Amino acid sequence: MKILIVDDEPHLRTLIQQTLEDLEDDGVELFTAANGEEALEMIRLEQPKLVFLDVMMPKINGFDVCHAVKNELGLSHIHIILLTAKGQEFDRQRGQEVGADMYMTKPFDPDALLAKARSVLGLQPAGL
Amino acid sequence: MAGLSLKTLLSPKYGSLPAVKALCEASGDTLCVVDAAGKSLLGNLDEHRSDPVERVPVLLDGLPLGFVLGTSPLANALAIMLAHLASRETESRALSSEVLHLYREANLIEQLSEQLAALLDVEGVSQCALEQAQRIIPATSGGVLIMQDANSPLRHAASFGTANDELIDITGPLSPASRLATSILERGTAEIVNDCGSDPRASESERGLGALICAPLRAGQRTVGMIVLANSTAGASYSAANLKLLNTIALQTAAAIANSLLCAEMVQAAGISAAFAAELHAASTVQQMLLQSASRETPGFHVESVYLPASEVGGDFFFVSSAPDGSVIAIVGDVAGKGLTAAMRVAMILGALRRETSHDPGEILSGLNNALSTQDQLGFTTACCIRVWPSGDYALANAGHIAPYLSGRELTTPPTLPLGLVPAQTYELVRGHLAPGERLVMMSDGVPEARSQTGELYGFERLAALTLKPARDIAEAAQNFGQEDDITVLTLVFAAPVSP
Repeated sequence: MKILIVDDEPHLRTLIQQTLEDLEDDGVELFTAANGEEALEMIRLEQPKLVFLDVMMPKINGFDVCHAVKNELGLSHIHIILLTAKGQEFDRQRGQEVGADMYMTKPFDPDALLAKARSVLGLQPAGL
Repeated sequence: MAGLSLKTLLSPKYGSLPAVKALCEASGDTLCVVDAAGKSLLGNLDEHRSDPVERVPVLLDGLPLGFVLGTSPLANALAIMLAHLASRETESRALSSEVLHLYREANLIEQLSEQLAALLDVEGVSQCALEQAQRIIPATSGGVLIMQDANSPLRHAASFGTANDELIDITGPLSPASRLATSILERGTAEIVNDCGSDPRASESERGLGALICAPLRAGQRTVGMIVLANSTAGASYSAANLKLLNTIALQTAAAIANSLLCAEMVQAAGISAAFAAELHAASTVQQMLLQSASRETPGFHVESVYLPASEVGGDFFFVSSAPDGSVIAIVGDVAGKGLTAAMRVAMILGALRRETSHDPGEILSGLNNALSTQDQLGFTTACCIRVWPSGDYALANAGHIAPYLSGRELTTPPTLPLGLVPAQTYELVRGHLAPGERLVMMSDGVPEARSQTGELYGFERLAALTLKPARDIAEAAQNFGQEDDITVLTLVFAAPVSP
């Protein structure tokens, strides 16, 4: 099982990666991408089960990546969680239109992020 | 979060792998990296090489993460570089951990704020605060103790956990009577007791709590209670960071609890106020009924009365009756004070007047005076009583009340004490005659003492002309000028002498 973390800010990629590191014990592989183009390439190549996708990125933003994955690449089964910065007005309607499965705000709650990943991947909740 | 291993450091997700790989290849396959157990991670050594192979440890904090195998200068250099990368990665992970911890705290505090904002009951707020505190501060038991007000004793509002491997009682780690709790409340600052066993304030049962952390719940200048967590796990202790977190939770919780207490007080006060308003309304209805039945029609006289209390119930009264000889008896009075107390006295006076058998104004006032004088601490009452015979002759007695007006002229009455001050008083009668069509006006001081918004009194000078008008006009003129007190006006117009 694979998870792709997409964010143009390196420290946020590191933080999410470190949050999800516990899943590696369950055989989960973590991948990262620094922009929309890289993300689409990784998604085609690795076909992750779950993508944490930043919305605000240069060139191809998260909405466009999500729309491409869900509607153009025939990969609608990939679970996409959009990440949006707190305080930014998140366009829920646009998120729904492009087919995102849910969204989380940054700074994210590490426990909630990990719990969500476990849930999507069908893994036991931590501590059980 | 797992500890850093050489395998992790050399995994593809870390950017250092290509550089290390390139170095190994550049060495002509004379280097190999193995983990602490000797398992190969990177590079292959030529088995047929003749050079001596060294085993250089890659150290992190003095402990080997693994080894670089190869010839001395190159193996040393790679081991130093890997140790440096491991050190940097460890620092980076520590920093990330700290940031994630802050993220976790920030989210918990935000969640707590949102949850508390939606709660208005003390128990709900306390439970919510305790659950969030438990999420970020390790604890085996916890509780929230609340003070209803500054003079109330502590009481438990929420609790969880075990102490000494037994389920704690409902009061949480500290009981409301605990010396430890009282001491912390008195000091008014958060406190860590990492060894309850040796704290002289701890009771026998509290000594087994292990480490304890406690913060008073302060909202402004008021302390509304305290939140306490304990950890009886062997070797457990609380840190300054824990104390800061608990304080942050306590601050938000205290405000929410103060709001909840205030809300409960307001609901209670609203209930009392509604009940009082209902009682006052009932009293007003009763008073109106009593006064409506206080006027009896008498042939030959046209009596009009208007009663405008300043609030729901008033302290003015009037009563009109007739005698067997066809004369009419009217009395107007004013009880000192306001509200329900005055209204009760009015009811008592009206009852006494109904029972009165005398038709003589002086005797009627004496009877009332005696009845009121036996009631201690009821204050005084002014009243003026008049009897008008069918011939037009009248006799009136006054007990400290405004004198009646006859055809716009104030009648002179002798000075006397009001009722209810000195028993066994007599009231001198003033006699006179009403011509047919003449209007006698009796009123309470609410008319001349009406006061405008600028503070001007209606006064006696304007009153004389006003008394030529009907009772309703007089009362409304005073009310419109600026009602300050109850207004009562009673007019009596003598129609014509009745033949015996």
